[in-house]
This record gives sequence, structure tokens and C-alpha cells, in this order.
Amino acid sequence: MSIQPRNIRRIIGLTWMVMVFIFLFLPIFVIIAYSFNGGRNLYVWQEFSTRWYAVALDNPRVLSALAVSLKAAAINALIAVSLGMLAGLTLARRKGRWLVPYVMLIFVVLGTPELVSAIGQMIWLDRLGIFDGITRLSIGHSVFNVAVVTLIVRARAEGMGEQLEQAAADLGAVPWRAFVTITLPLLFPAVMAGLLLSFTFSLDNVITSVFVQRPGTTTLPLYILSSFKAGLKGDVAAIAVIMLGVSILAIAIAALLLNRGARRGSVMGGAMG
Amino acid sequence: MASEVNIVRISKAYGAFKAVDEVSLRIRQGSFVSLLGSSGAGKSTVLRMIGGFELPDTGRVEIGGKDVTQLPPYRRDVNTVFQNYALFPHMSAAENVAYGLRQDRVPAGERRKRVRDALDMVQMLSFAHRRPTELSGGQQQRIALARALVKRPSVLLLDEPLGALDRKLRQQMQIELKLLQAQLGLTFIFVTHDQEEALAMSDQIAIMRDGRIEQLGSPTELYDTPRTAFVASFIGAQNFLNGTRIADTNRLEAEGAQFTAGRVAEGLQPGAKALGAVRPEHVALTRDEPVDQPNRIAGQVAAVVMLGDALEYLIKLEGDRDLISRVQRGRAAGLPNTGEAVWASWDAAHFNLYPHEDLQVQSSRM
Amino acid sequence: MAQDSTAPSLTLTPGLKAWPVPRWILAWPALAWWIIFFVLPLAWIVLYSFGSKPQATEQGFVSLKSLSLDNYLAATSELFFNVFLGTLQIAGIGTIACALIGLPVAYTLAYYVAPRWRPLLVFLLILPFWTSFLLRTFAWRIILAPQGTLSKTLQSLGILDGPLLVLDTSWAVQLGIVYNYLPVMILPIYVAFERIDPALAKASMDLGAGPIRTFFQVTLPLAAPGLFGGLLLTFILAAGDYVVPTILGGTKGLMVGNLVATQILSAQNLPIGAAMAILLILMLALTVIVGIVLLWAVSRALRTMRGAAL
Repeated sequence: MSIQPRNIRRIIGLTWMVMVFIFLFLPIFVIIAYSFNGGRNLYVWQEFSTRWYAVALDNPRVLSALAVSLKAAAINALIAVSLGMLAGLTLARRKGRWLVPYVMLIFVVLGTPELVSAIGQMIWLDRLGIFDGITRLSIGHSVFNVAVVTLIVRARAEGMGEQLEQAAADLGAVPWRAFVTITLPLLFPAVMAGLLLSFTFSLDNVITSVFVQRPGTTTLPLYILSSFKAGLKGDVAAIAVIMLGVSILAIAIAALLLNRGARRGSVMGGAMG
Repeated sequence: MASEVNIVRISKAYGAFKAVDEVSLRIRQGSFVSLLGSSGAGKSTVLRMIGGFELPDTGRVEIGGKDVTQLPPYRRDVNTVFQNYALFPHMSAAENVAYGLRQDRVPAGERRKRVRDALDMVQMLSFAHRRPTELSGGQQQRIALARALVKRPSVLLLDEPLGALDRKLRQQMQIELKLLQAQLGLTFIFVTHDQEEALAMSDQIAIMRDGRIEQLGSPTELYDTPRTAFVASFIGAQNFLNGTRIADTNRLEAEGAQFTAGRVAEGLQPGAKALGAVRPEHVALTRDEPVDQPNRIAGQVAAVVMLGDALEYLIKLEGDRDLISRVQRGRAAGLPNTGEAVWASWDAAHFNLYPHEDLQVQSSRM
Repeated sequence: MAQDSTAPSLTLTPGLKAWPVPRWILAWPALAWWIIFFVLPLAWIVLYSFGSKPQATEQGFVSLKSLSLDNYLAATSELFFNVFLGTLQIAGIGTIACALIGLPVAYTLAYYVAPRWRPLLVFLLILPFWTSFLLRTFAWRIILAPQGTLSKTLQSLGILDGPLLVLDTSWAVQLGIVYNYLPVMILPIYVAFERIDPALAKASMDLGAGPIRTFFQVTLPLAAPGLFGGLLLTFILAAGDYVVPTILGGTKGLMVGNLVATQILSAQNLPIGAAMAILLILMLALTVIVGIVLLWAVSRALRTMRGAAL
């Protein structure tokens, strides 16, 4: 019975899907593989070696760029989570006429080409006289991430429903106690996921960083970008793989957090629609 | 320990929609009162205003003599069993039950004991450490009940708590709730759209429609002497004949004949359009014309439905209207079969006249 | 249950009921953040786009002494115009390619994959997109390198006469765009398919429509909003991209993204860069509007073609 047209379509579909997935992951595997390329020329495979990792981790410029990236990402994540959690909760629990324009603004923030907002931020930060590199990076990255966290928290709060908080009030809990004992614990996975995603987006950010950075505080992606112009070597691939590992780990944890306890049939806990 | 609840002329509107329209109700302490109605009738909104989850636009709510209208839920001596139970998913059953006691700062020893007693009372002690997601609907319902009762509120509000349960379980829970209420002596206010449920459990039923109380009374009163056609149709099964009241008498002109009623509802004007109501169990069937019964009408048996202890006859009248007769199976011998002609008749004592209303169906079944 | 705006304050704002404070006040910090660091910057871009490059004697990046449309005129010069067209082309072709490649994947994921595997596959789908954009684009330099493995293999197989010369051309940029935005296209379509009640397809077939007709008459129309969202998002992101043309395009294959960056960062010509950025937004907005109108027109046409039911 396996020659039925429906099964043929299934096989074609699954094959196509697998091919597309391979296509999507191919560059990642390539970079991982070539980071172990011992040869001098990155593009030509010579021998297996881990020496580039040693070179990369020894390079002071790499380490300082890494430090800058991590600091900026951390500050940006804190901003994103604190502002986003409040906004997301408010959107879910205090609906009113303000809601539609507010959400539209969020979509504009998310949908505007990063290029444009990066230019604007560069101009504005200069005019405001904010010249500290890490501050500029944190602020620049956080704008998008506040929106992301807001939507994630909102989706989770909506999915949770107000009933639980009402039940808590019914049982005698004053508002802040209900918030601390009921709302926060149940929002926690979403908040954590938002934190991780904000952190990762900042770590990997290129466009905003290109415009907003100050000489002396370069992020890791920008360091990679500049060494590209100087000619790629294995150590860049090594750094790339390390960053990839960190990003993948963070996103995997975020995905787990969002999926656990999410409504059935929602993707990523409803955060993606 | 139980309190009286007094609602005085409360209203609630959402935009142009009046969900609750000047409702007043006095609920005696220790009684089991149901708010009955279809969805949108306003019964849940009234309950929420008693619980403190909505602020009435007008009027006041008094519990145990105290005006609690402006008080938030956590300051009222009222507890709620929510429609979907609202159990905290991140806590075990026991922790859920303990939650309310924690808010009152009940000392640990006494708290543990009360939690155990509450779980025991609903027979859920062995499930104490399970999470809500690990419990079935019926089990969750019991935990929600225990959680509300452990605080010994003077009033318990129940918002369609049995809606998600299957029929057998629901009937079992109805009995348990009734017994529990009698045993604890608390005031129970119960919201439901199921009239059978309300009839089975309540001391008093307030039937609501479009934000108002249409009738308040005991189950017997509502069943035997409904005040309007709506109440007559909502509670139990009812046949309706569409016609006109003959002048100021208690007679109805309908289906080309005249019928005599035992009761005429107030508000029915002489000569006005009227509905005559008779319950299926009061409609007798005969093969021959029952000439000494003034209320009689000829028809044809369209279908016979088996209900277990009784048979339901669907009688088609002239002009495509129908009548339902409910006959105990012991008395059904000799009655006409499907397709045959039959006479339906009933006593005036069981026939009531009401002002005409646009009800969903002409003759309504349960 | 309608949200009640007058309920006693339950969470978040204890005690604030006494003050005349708006209920949504806790959403203000985020709002303030966006206004200060998003809206105002955009306003400045608009303003600067009317300015001019400062004279040698002046300070700063922009002279606002005489506002004019000069920058816009310069921006519509031939060079820029070509780049704009090229961007539209690459983004457009990329979007269509993503749709053609991605739709079957979304469909397969929604209908041919067992439900318990779907979250994992969705995660794997999103993963490449959320990990470093930059790095993955880099990997394509390795793959497409003239001296690289792929090039050598293709040569030895006889498919190519000489080394692979795709890199640093607009073809490489095109490939990079398709690669990077494929997940962005697939995800909304998948979500749309997944939301459709399975009973609908069954009803369609019960009424006599085969699988292909069911797909085009029932499934696809119902998934249309998701498809439209995917197309829109992909196009907008692709058109504004900076990384792909920079890394894979070399000096050719320029898109608006790196043209603007060059103007602002290298040529220090902020006003023209600003004007170009505004033009980019206008172009995207225009495309969105055209897309919506097209969608509406197509659905109207289909409806009239089908004829009245009554």
C-alpha cells in the first residue's frame, strides 16, 4: 500500500525538508570543521589541529572584544528584562484603549530595518553626549530586545490567565503577595527565556554595533568583521565556533523554558504567534 | 458562622451592554441558593460582584450585615470555587489548600492539621502531593473545593464548578456538595445554567434573564407555579399553545378551539396574545375522544421516544405544531403507535396562561 | 469575559488605587525607552536628511544651516538608483525563492511530521537564524571559496572549467540572502498551517475535492495570512540587510545597506546617508502597501472568478 499518492507526497515532502535542514546547517558544520584546519590558508584544508583555538584564546584583542561583548550583552539583557517584564504584564492585565497603539509601536520597533535605527541611534547618542562604548552598545542593543521580552512575557501572562491571581486574592493574598507567590513564579520561565534571547541577540549583533561603537570598545562580531578584511585565518573560525556554542546553548535553554508549561499547539509558548 | 448575603440594586454595564440590571437579592444565612440562567444572563457577573472581582456601577453588597462593596476580594469573608478551578499549577494539591491559610498567617501546626482535614473531607488526602496537572477534572474540582472551604468562609461562591465533569460524576458531586453544605451549615451561592442541577441542590433558586431576576423561589414553587412563560419554559419541560385570551376569562382560544386554564399569570391583559402552558407529564393520551375533558385536541403520533422509565410521545397537531406527552411505561399499554391518530387532553388545574413571549421554541423539551 | 477597567486593583499596583494614576503606568518605562532611543533617533535621521555636509570650517557632522532636498536629489543619482533597483531585485528574488523552497517545508512540518517531533524541528529551524548571522554568512565564504573544496570538487567533476567564481558577485549575495532568511519565511507559514482545523480538509474531501484541489481551495487560502506575513517580513529584512552584501558581495553586489554604511562611515557624508536611509524606509513602506493592495485585488479577482454562490 505504500505506493499510494499520499505516501509519495509524504516521502517527497520529508526528503525535501531534510535537504533544506541540511542546507541550513551546512555552514555551521563547515565552520566547525574548518576551525580545526591546521593549515595557514583557511580555505584550503590541510590537517586537523586545534591550534587555532589556542591562538584565538591567547589573543588579547580577542579577549578584550569578548569582554566588551559580554558586558554589553549582560547590561542590555537586564534592561530588556526589567522594562519588558513590566510592559508585557501590563499589556496582559491592564488592557484598554492604549493597547493598540502601544502594540503597533512594538511592531514598528521590531519591523524597522536595523540599519535605519542604528544610524539614528548613532546620531542621537552623539548629540546626547553619551560616549562610553559599553553604554552605547547596551542601549543600542536593548531597544529591540525590550520589545522581544515584552511580547514573550505578554504571551505567557495571557496564556496564564487572570484567574490564578484572582484565586490568590480570593484566598486572602494582598496584591504584592499574589504577584510574588503566584505571578512571578509562573512567569519565570518566560522571563528567563527573554533574558537568554536578549543576551544572545546582543552577543551576535552586528549592524547596530557597527554604527554605535566607539574606537577602543569593539565587540567580538565586529572584531571578526574587521579581521575578515585583513584576511581570514583559522583563529577567526575558532572564535566563531566558540560563539556559536554559547549562542546555541543559550537558545536551547530558552526554547526549553518557553515550551515547558506552554499551551498545546502554540509555538514557543505562543511567543512566536 | 454562616452569613447572610444582601445584594441591593446592583448594576453592571460593559459599554452599552447591561450585564446586570438593578438586581436585589437577600440570601438567608446557611441556605443554598442557585443563580440560574443561560449564558449572558448575568449570573456570573453577580457572583463576581459578591466575590469582589468586579465593582458594581450602582448598589451595594452586604455580607453578614457589613457593606463590602468597595472591598477587594482579599478583605471579604467569602471564598470562591472557580469555573476552571484555578488551581496553582506550580504547587501541589496540599500547597494549594494551604495557600489561603498562609495569607492569614495561621501557625504551621494548625495549618497542617486543617489542610489534612480539608483534604480528608473531600477524600483527596492520598493525592496531597500531586500537582494539579496530574489530577483528573473531578479530582481538581475537589481540591478547589477544599482550598476554598479550609478557610471556613461564611459564604462560599461556586461558579459553574461542575460544568466540565461528565454526567455521572456531576450528579455524584451534586449530592456531595448538598450534603457538605448541610453538614457545614455554610451559605452557598451556586451559579449554573443547568436547571436540573439547580432543582436538585437548592433551597432557593433565582432565575435570571437579561441581567434581571425573573423569579425567586424554592424549586417546587418554580416548577409548579412559574410566574412567566420564560420561567415555565426554562424549568422542566413544557408544552406551549399559542393563542389569545378570551376577554377577561381564564380561557384560551387556540388551534381552532377553546381551552380552560387553572391559573392566569398577572400582567396578561384581556384579549391579549397568550401562551398556554402544560407539562408533558400532565398530558394524557387516548384513542377515543375524551368528551368530558374540556382541554382536548386531536393529532397524530409522529414519534415515540424511549426514556427508560417513561415514554415520550411526539404528537403532531393540525397546522404542523406539536405537543409532547410523557407517559410512564406501566401506563402505556394500548396507546396508539407511530402514525396513528390520537387525542391529547389535560386538566385545567395543570394549564397556565401567560402573556405572549418570544421564546426559543414553541413547545420546549428539557 | 470583558476586561473590567474598574475592578479593585488586584496585582502590580497595591495601594495605588488611592492615587489618580493611570492603570497602565508600568508600561511607561518601556515606552519611554522606545521614545527616547528609537523614535527620537528616527526623527533625527529625518532632520539630518534635509541638512548638508558641513564646510571645512564648521564643526560636527551635519550642517543644519540651510535645509533642502539636495540630499534626496543626490540620492536619486544614477549610482544610487541602480543600487536601489539591485536591492529590490535581490530582495525580491530572494523572497520568492524563500517562499518556493520554504512552503513545502512548512507544509511537510505541519502535515507529514508527527506532532511530538515538531517542537524539536521548529527549534532546529530557528536555531541557525538566531545564532550568529555573521558567522554563518562567513561560512559561505569558505564554501564558495575559489580555492576551496567545493570549487575543486566541481572542477574535478568537469562541471566547472575553472575555479568557482561565484564569490564576491551578486549571485553570492543572492544565495546568502536566501540562506539567511529561509527560517523567517518558513516559521509563519508553518504556524498558519498548524492552526488550521484538520477537520476542514476532511470536510473538503468529503464534499468531493481531491488533495490538490483541497490544498489550493481550502488550505492555502486559510494559511494566506501567515504566508503574507512571511513574505513581508522576509522582504523587509532582506532589503535592509548589511552583513550579507558586505561579506559575500565584495565591491560588487552592493545593496542599499552597505551603500548607506559606506556613505556614513567612510565618506563621512551623514546627510546623504540619512536621506538614503529614509528612502529605504519609504521604499519598503511602498512595497508593503503595494503588496497589500495586490493581495486584496487577487482575492477579489478569485472571488469573482468563482462566481456567486446564490
